[in-house]
Amino acid sequence: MQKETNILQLIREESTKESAFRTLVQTYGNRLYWHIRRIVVGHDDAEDVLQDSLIKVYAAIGDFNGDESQLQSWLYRIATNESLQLLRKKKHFFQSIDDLSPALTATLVAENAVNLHTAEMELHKAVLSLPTTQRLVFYMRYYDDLSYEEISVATGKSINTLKTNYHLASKTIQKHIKDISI
Amino acid sequence: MITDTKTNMPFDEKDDYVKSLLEKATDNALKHKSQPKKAKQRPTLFFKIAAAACVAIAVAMAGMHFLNSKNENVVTTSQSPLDNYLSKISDQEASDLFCYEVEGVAEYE
Repeated sequence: MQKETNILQLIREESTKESAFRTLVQTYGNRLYWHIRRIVVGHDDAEDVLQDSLIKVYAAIGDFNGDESQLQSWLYRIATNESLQLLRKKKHFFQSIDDLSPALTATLVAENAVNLHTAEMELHKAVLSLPTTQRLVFYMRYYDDLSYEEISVATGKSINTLKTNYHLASKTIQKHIKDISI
Repeated sequence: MITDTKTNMPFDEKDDYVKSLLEKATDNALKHKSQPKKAKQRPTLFFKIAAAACVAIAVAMAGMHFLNSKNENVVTTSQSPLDNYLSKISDQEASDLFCYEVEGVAEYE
């Protein structure tokens, strides 16, 4: 908390903005990268989205009016939006993002063939079969340990909706893993 | 807990790789912000005034041309067919015309 307060104060000062931004990326960058990577799956896409996200963060951080407790959620929100924006560009006009699951799964398998027959691969394949909202809330809850309040800021969805989505996601994944282990 | 697996697997990027990726992205973000924006170039006040003046002059000239052409039409159409005819014949021929002997017509006095 103290660190976040310092970062915000330093970023709002023109003389320390650049160094504070570097500190911010060092603090949160790793989590943001993996969050993006899980959503867009492709390595090159993740790199592009990360770049676009950091550009947006640096451009908008001066206008960020939240307090230190909201900073992480705000960063996740930008990263999530940029990731979804990339997925929207990949889909056809009449498709929804959810329809990209087969293509994303194919990319996952192709880029990570070394780890093809692992539990992690099966978990990701199961998650990729979920609707986008369920995917997002599952990733942020399970991998990033974000609270429902933080996920609500990141996704713009209500806490009750997120809880329902997480519950459904968990059930589907458990069934998927149970099916393949039989 | 769905599974005990809670790593970044199956993605295989190592921490060092991600770190260098983040550093590069940070540098680019800082460069991106420091570049001057080329998209919008707002015209100066002088340019705006000059453009407005040109438009005003163009409108005025078009209006004058339109009014002049209307005036010419008025001059032409204000002449009666008789006046128009009389202006084309000689005085000798005009004096032979019967209407010249008509008196009491205010129009021709």
